[in-house]
Amino acid sequence: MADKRTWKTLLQDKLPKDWAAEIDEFEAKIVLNKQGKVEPRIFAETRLRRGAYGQRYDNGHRNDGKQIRKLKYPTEGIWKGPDTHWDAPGMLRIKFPWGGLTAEQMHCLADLAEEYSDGIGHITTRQDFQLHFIHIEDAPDIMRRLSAVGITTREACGNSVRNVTACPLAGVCRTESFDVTPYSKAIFKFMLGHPDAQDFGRKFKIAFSGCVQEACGLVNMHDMGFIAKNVMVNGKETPAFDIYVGGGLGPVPYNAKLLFADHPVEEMLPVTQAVARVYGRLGEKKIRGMARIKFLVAKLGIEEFRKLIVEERKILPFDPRWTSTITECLKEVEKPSQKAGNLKASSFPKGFLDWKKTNVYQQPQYGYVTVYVKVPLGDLTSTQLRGLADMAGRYVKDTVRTSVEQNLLFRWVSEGDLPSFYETLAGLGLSGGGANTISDITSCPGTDTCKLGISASRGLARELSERLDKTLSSLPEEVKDLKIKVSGCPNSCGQHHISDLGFYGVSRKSGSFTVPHFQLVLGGQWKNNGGSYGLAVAAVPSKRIPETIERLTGKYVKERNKGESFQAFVARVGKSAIRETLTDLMTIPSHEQDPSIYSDWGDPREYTIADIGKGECAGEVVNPYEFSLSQAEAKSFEAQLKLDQKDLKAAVTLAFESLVLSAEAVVRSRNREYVGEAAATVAEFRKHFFDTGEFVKHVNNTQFAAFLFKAAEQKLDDPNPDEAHRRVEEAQLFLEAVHSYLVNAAPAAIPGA
Amino acid sequence: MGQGTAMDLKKINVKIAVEKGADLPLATFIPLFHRFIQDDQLEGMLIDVAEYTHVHQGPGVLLIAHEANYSLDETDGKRGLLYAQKRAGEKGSEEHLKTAFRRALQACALLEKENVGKLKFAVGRVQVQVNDRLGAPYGSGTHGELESLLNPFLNWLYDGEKYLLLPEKDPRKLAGFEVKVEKPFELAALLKKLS
Repeated sequence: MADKRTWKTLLQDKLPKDWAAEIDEFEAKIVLNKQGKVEPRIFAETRLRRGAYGQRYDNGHRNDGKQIRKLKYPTEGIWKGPDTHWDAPGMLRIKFPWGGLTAEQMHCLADLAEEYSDGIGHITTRQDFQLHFIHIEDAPDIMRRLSAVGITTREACGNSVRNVTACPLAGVCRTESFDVTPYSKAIFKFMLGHPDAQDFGRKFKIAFSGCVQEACGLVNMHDMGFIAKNVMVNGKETPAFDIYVGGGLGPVPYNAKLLFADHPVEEMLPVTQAVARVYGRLGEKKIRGMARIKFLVAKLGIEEFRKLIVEERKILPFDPRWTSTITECLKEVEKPSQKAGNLKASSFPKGFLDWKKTNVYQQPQYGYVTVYVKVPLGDLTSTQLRGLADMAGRYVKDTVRTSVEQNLLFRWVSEGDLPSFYETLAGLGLSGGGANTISDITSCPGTDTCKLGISASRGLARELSERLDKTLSSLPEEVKDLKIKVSGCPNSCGQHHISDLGFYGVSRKSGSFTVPHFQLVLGGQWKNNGGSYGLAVAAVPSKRIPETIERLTGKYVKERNKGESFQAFVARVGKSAIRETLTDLMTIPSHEQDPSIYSDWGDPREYTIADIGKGECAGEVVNPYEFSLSQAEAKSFEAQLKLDQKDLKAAVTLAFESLVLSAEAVVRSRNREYVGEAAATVAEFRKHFFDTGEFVKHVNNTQFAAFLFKAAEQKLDDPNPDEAHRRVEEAQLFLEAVHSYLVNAAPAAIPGA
Repeated sequence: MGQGTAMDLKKINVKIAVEKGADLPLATFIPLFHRFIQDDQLEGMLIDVAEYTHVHQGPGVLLIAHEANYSLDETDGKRGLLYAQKRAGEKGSEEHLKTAFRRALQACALLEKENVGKLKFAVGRVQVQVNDRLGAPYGSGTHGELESLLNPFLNWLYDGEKYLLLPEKDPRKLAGFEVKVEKPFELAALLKKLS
């Protein structure tokens, strides 16, 4: 093998020139960084904009279950970001706009997962793929190999326009107004690297939906979204968009606001450009936690924001690509590779009919169906990826899409091919039924690989899926269709806010130990583009979540009114009654009684940070801060109940009281005797814990403390529903942050801990 | 050993087949790998454990290290201990081969010790692959070079006993061979030789 062969020379004719130049530039930055010529902070943003993310333990510390172990990465003194070791494994996020991928691309992913990662390609909740445990120095070659098959990682992370997502059924959907695929392609092409999208304070996510009533592209939770509709113009049915802005999940979810209704599709790109300009110019830049466009829209109000966009649109210099990009994309029409057919066989493979019930969608095009390939936790091996690529070639050509539920969709399967399609899938171990049911659980990476993970979301999702797969056929129909979504922390990557049963990772102290928990979120809606957001009801130890689900679904089946949805049931019964059902599960047994509670799913390490030793008074004397914390929990919950009762003012008042009590807990952790009024408590917290960096250091986020300060400054005497919802959510999140602080802060700082 | 070849086996995979214990739940190995990290029981810079028990015929459970991944791999439905070298120094192919075999066998020995009577590795059934499509693209040239590197090493390791080298048949997979040694060997004896 000649030494001079490199991927760069080997692929030089296959890469688009601008993509090749960008990768070369990135490779040069790697060299410069290794020479100490780039600031870690600058290099971090550089790599993030190219999809190269950090991963858990890249700060060089890991709790091995006995102690915090220093990871001695070989390359000392070189960093790929602040406090991020050069040699630490990282993640590479690979964008698949609108979730579309070809057989050739699947083969490429298979090779890359095998050669550089851990043999797994992971589908994300935004239709991307991720490779984990990547070395930063391998990233340029991976990018070249991806580029050679038409994939870029550019702007997959960082403060940029992230992957443009779209309903995976677009073009084959029975209820869509029109196929949004060409428009999502156009916006991806137009905005990638656009100069007006390079100065954001935070990421910017765009989604497309073909219809209003289905989950579709989940426009309600996006920074910017487009819902297709047909309008009459001069007596002729014409495609148009309802354009939304300012939605988003994250710790505090915001509903998107209607920016323009019935907007001409030709105006899609200039409007997006105008929004990018206004966001780039007016969006928050300093406080990262307040920098998403949702905060700007909420601050200005949608009317004012709309006015700014209209003004900006008027002064935009004309760009011929506004229409040419769309025209070009409209020419790319997806076609089936096989003739339409019908199911004819009288005997089908074992399991086929059950699988067909949940995993096959009848397209409006006669003789064609879309198959949902259920991918457990979104993980595919190289062998499976190659097998799926072969299936794409054989059955559908390049019409495969990823979904935000971490599955794959094979569109345009001739119905007559279904039995053999199923058997081929079975050979790959991918013929699992129950797609889009309660056993088809979405999860973010959580503590497996994410730096922010608090609880093992994948571990929980794996456990729940396995249990529910076994019982699925015997579950009542009304339970089968429920959605479960799990996030490892409040940041919502698992989209817990818009599921029937949502969970996000939190932790709780119990004596000198820390216990992994999940906060149960109820009331969310998946349909209607992620139509409404749920609220936290109760924090339950991780190991008791399966029982929590059994109880809740059991209660639902037993007590529901005829035809009542789970969401309506929760609203009718009330969170208080639901919480009562779970009271015993929320109580933490002692370590002696049940040590299994003190570790997380799939991870036998004791869930504790080793620098929390057993204090002299552990488990015996209650520190006053615990009383404050307990009161804060109660107030937060009461606030949620008031919100449910539409008593918005009371909800906001209680939320504020919870915020202050949480702050009081922090102050009392240092000063047991502290007593003070709300304003004094906020001032004490600010002076001793925020301004000193103490609180932020231990919760790793400035946003949570900002919730307290904002509430203290803006009392919201006459709150609207959105404002009240947010204030209540913020109180809960600040409370969680205080829990984290009390777990993470040095024990010396917490008498009695 | 390996004279006259330009191939540098930096990214080498060595997978030792499981003889007994293919039915042990994969989850059995999760606490063991965590303990290997706690007690520094394997060579290299050990980082974390990754679980893929939910994946059909996948990497199973991995111990991620800086230099390599150790896993209870089930690719193609065959369980084995896979040592997948990711980063090696400049010691040359012979040393890299030795290191990969030694570390794979060390992991096998530890796992057998933890599962006495339940788990046994067939140390004469080994899959060797080059995990580098650039340096070792699938093809007869690569297989020829690899064979010329492997033969002297395998002759030395297995005391000149007969063995078969079966090349990978699927051109989309990594270039490599399945090694089948006719005479059974003891794990400890091979390890002693490699130490």
